[in-house]
Amino acid sequence: MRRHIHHLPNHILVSIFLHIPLEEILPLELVCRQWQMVQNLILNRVQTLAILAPKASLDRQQTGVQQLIKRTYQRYGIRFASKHYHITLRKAFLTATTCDFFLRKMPNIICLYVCQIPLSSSISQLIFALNGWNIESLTILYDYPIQFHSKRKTINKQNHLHRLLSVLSPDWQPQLRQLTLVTFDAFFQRFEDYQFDLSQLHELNLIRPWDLNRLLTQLVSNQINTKMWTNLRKLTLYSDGNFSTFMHLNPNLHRILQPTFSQLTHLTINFANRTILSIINSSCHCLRSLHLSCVTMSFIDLAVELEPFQFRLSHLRITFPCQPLPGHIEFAPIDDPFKIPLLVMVTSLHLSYSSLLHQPTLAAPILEHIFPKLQTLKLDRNKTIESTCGRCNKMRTTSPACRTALINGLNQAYLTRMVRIYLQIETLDDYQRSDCYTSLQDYEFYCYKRKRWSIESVHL
Amino acid sequence: MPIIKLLSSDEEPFEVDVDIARMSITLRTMLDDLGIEEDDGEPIPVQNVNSSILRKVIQWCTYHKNDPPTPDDDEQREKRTDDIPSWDADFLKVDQGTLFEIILAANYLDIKGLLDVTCKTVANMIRGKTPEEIRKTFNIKNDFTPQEEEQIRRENEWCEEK
Repeated sequence: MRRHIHHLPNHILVSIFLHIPLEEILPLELVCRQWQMVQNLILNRVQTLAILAPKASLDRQQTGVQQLIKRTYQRYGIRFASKHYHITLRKAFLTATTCDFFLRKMPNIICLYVCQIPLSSSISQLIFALNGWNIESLTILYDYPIQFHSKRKTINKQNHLHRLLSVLSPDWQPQLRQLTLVTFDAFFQRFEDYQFDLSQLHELNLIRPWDLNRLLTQLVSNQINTKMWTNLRKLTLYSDGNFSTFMHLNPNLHRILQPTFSQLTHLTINFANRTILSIINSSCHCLRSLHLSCVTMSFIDLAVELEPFQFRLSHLRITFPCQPLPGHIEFAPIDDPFKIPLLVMVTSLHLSYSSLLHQPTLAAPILEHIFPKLQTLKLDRNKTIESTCGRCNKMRTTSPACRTALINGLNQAYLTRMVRIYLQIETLDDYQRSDCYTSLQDYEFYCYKRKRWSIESVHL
Repeated sequence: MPIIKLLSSDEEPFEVDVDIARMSITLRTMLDDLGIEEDDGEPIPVQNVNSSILRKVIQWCTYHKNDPPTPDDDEQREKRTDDIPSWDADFLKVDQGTLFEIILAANYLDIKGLLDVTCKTVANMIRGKTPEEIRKTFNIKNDFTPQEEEQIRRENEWCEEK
């Protein structure tokens, strides 16, 4: 008997359909009753959905959802679910028909990304969708430059804000665990007008909110119900530079932050300086993981500032500026080894945009001094080395010579204790261009373990 | 290399390396349960797979015997269909009936890599086609009434929004 596709059991049809992008699965229900049933089976199981604006509608910065999410991770260290379905809208905004269809076909969404969809035209539909699903994790993701204000001068921002905030109804709020707003304007502009109960929120990521200062001002002046933060474990505050100025101007801020952020275990913050680190030190007593971005201090100066954290921190990530700053010295020769600070609990160190590979023989002993118990060293987005090597003018940071220099720079006993070294394969240029990856946060690294280099796909 | 004998549903015997046979979880479990390590004279019946398909399955397993283990499946992850190795693509250039037989055999024998690549191949036959084209490709009968079809089309209207 010649086999027909109808001879395949439903679970195999499910496996076949799972290889098809969501937006192509949707019309398959029109084929026949069996396919309609299989499609329903799949859509009922979908829990994570990214809704993306159509490519043609926005500017050249518009990219696929994977690139957006990956870029957000690269820039800000925010980790998203690596497994998700995405769907690209036909129009640049959500319509009633679309939302109704999504809600009906995919009733079990708990993790929602809204990517590059201008809220000016989609807010009521978004609210409709949010009220229909039981969202635990909400991400509103814009890629900058911000699309929100462009062209339409008649946008009533306050009105949109009001409507979005009203969606956070008392019934809906307590289940929200993760809220991420990337280049999202005005969320906190009228924060004091709303009674939030985000007391179950575990993770809050605010990336380039234009009014972070206002939020902090409200915090300082007790205008915000700090109950919101009581369960907060992970916080990302990534501003455009005003943050540090604000911190300087408000020396009493730590009094507010101390009870507010006392439960924080993970913190990402940019433009950290001595004052800010001091405030964090006195406020965040449970901090285990710290990601400092846009670091302009030298490695040793930073370690000195971090020494008060030494019995708390186990994971440290440092992101240096992607372009070298004039006069910035990441590693300098050690004058007095006894003055080098210790971060004894740090077992994982992740350096982004570091120039460590430029000077491994100088940097390696510094690492050994500061991090005596380091188990994992991760180097990504390494700055390209502009030196000649045999065949080509540019030496890749992961070339065999470069890898050997790194290993030779480290003391053998230290190296033996260390479990792994990860060295990202692509150069910076390759990295930014790269769009061929199978998973959102898996990157190819050279991995050094048991005295051998091998290539591994690493979930950062 | 230890050899075992497999017997297809049409009773054709096949001699296979144990390591290749063990790529099938079904056969591996059988060998482990029966404590078979090499040919002890009795062929192992593979009841649901005929000789022509079993030959293809053994050919695929032989080519892929040194592949790293396939990672666990993850339904929530969106999968790709553009990464079929060229050897597999050539290997699967067969008529639809044979392709579905291989899928059923891979499913029965529990050979994840083969099931995965065959599913991808069928997914590629579906992708980019309208429902009508899909019906034509796979010779599927439209079993909706005109009213039902119209209703579904209306519900899917957002896909056509311009």
